[in-house]
Parts: sequence; C-alpha cells; structure tokens
Amino acid sequence: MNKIVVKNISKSFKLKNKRFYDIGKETIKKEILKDISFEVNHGEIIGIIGPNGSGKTTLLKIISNLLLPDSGNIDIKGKISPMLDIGIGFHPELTGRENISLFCALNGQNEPDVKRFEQMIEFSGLSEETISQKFKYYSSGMKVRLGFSTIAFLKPEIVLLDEINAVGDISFQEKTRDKIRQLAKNSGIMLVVSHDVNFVKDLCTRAIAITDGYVLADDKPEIVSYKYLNYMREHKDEKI
Amino acid sequence: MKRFNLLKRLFHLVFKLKYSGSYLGILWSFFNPIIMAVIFTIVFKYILKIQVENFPLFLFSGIVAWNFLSANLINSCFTFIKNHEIIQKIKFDYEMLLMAEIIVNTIIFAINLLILTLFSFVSGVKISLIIFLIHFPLMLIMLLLLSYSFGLILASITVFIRDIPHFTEIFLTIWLYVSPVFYVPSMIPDKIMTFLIYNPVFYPLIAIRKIFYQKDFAGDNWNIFWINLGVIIGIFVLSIIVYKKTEKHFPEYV
Repeated sequence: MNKIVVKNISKSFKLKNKRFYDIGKETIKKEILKDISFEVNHGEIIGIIGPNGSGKTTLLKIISNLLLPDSGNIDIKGKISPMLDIGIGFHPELTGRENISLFCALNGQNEPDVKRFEQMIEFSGLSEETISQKFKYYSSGMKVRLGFSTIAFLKPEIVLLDEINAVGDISFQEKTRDKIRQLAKNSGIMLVVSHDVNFVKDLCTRAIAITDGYVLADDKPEIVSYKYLNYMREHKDEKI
Repeated sequence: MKRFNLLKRLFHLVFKLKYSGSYLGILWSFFNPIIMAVIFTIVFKYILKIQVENFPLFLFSGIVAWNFLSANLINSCFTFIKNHEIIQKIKFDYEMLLMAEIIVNTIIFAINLLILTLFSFVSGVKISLIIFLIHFPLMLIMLLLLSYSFGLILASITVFIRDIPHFTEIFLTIWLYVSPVFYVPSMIPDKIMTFLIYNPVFYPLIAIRKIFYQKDFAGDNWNIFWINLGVIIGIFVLSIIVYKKTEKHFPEYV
C-alpha cells in the first residue's frame, strides 16, 4: 500500500545572491510554502491547483526529495517516479534514444533491451527520425511524449506530473489524457499539478488547492474547484 | 552492474559533450601534445639552451602529467553545474558524473603518454620495463585519486559558490610553480624541499621522469611517495565528508 504523508511543510528561497559588498546585509527571502499538510492514500489521483507562483511545483519537488523543506516532514511509502514536466531531466545535447538510455541508468535501471526500446518508442508515437534527433530540437509536445513513455517504463508506484497537459494541440491533449489515465491505473498514487480546473474535475478523485503558501481547500474536485475559482475572482488583481 | 551501466551512460554523455559539434573530435588530443613536443624541441634545443640534459623531453614529460591533473581539476569545477538539467530533476549518485569526466580525461592522458613514449624513443631513451611496472601504476593511481578527491571538493563547493573556478585557476598557477615541472628537484634548496615534499604531485612528477626520461634528480624518493600518498588519502577523506554534507542540496542550488 502506497502512502504519502505531508506534515507542516514550509520552504523559502533566497531571492538574491550575495556579493562581497553585501556582507552584513540581510538576505532577502521569499516564503513559497508556509504550512502545508495533507495525506494521500493508495489509489488516489490528486489534482493540485493554484495560481502561478503558489508553490505547486516546489511542493512536488519536495515530495520527490529534490528539495529539502525548511521545516516539517514527509513520509512516503512506495517507489516514486521522477517528476514529469516538460524538461523531465533529459539532456538537450543527446538524442531521444540516448536520453532514454541515460534516463533509465540515472534511475537505477539497466539498459532497456531492443524490444523494450521499441515498445517505448511506439508508445511515445515519435517517428524514427525524431527519436534520433537531439532533444533540444524537440517541440514541447514531443518532449512530453518521450517523457511519458520513459516514466511509464519505470513502472513507478507514485507518479508526479507537473503541468504536462498544458502543451500540445487538442488531439495531443486528448491522447495524454488517455495516457495519464492508463498510467494512473498502473500505479498506486498520482499527483497532478494543473491550472486546468476541468482537467482536474475530469481525471482526479480528489483535489487540493494551494494559495499563498497554504492549503485553501482539500476535498472532492468539484468543491475544491468551486472554492478555488471564487478565491481567484476575489484576488484577480493581485500581483505575484 | 546498475552502477556500471550508469557510469557507462554518463561517460557517453561527457564524451559527447566534449566533442559535440567538432569536426576533428578526439584527434585534437593528438595534435596538442605533438605540437607541444615540436615547439619544446625547437625552443630549448636551438634558442634557449638550458643546462639540463635533454631538456625538451624533461619538460614535456612533466607537462603531460601536470596537464592531466590540471584538466581534471578545471573540468571538475564545472561537472555538476554544467549538468544541471539532470541534477535538478533526478536523484542519482552525482559523483559518478565526476568519475565519467575523469575517465574521459584519462583517455586523453593515455594519448599524451603515447606521444611521450614516441618522444623518448626519438630522444634515444630506452624505457626500462621494470621501472615502468613499478612506477607507472603508482603514478597513475595517485594522479587519479588526487584528481577525484580534489575534484569532488571543487565540484561540490562550486554548486554553492561560483567563485571556485576562478580561484582554482589562480591556485593551479601557484601550484604549478611549487611543483618540479619546469625545474629539476635537485635545484631546490634543502630548506624549501622540506615543505615541497608535502606537495602531492611531487612523486607522480618524479615517477613520470623515471619512466620516460630515465633520470629523476631526486635520489631515493620512497619517503616522498609515502608522504604524498598520505596527503592524497587525507584529501580523499575530506572530499567524502564535503560531498556527503553538500550533496542533498545540489538540486536546489545547481
């Protein structure tokens, strides 16, 4: 049974690097997450919504152990996937094929055999020509497609997706939606960061809205998105 | 096995990045030492006549060892920050990146040694197999361990303090002049020598001359070997401590 327990997490970032003439001055810090707590149980698909700069990505990075929280703690049971966003951790100078090999190696896997390779490339829907191109020449849609198929190959128990439905054309969005469902079915827990309230309502079993570093609402997607949209209407003129 | 696979893929990445977009690729590693050997011969045989027997070969052998170390240290400063795309997104053993970097440099070092062998052959030196078998492995292991340990410290701190590469450049210049690269060890006054034997690159420089130049000007030097080895192991232990302390913050700062 996979489980995530997030307890009183806070995180701030330094805004400016100090130079030698700044010694003695106070470091300017911005608190991104102030006090976040929630629990996720096996079988749940959680949608995380919130305005730009509210700390959604930071939260995913803390859960995937890439960032250390300033305070609070996290308890995770299950094999966690690397966070999937447009960059995913592929190297811009390597080709798609080389990136798959590197990505598997970085995640502690052996080199996929020829058959696996073919399945992954098939799943991504990229042509042989595209897969032999350098990753830096990929469009955002192509990047996400490749990321998706490699993540699926790793068979993670906990999947973290960051804003990946925002790219691509309508037909591609349809496709990713199906693939996200497929991935969710095969794994224990999925956390999806999105701006798209309808997407969250459609896919997720529960939603969490984060605003200003706190949890605004944590409930069924319909209720959370209603509260979130109300909040956004009230705060629409605020600068971030 | 999985660690080996990771090292293999990272080696491939580092190698590719080094020569990406270059027409001649690794061939550059042949031109560099050949041209250096030719220039040394012209300058120190015909223009600047130095009172050291076969000075071009003496200098060239020292420079080859030194360049290996200094390339390792300069490259290691950038190893982590250059690969921020993967460090920011995936947790893995970051020190494997440095290992890959050093392996690539070792290949270039091997090419340099090949040219050095040719150079000593042309200069009429007969390389003794026994001396080679004793001193070559020791020299190589010391240079590798020194590069890895010192490099790991530099690479880790550069993530947080971007001044380290600048510092390293100056440091290497100073270090070059307190190492017997341009001068022979017997020229060094005894008083200064008592300090210089703590320079961990001292023995490797003596060893490469023993092998490829057949003379080291340092007399019996096993005590230098042991002292150097001690210093290097000290740096190695320090590097493990620095890396373990800083590694968890890499994805945030890299």
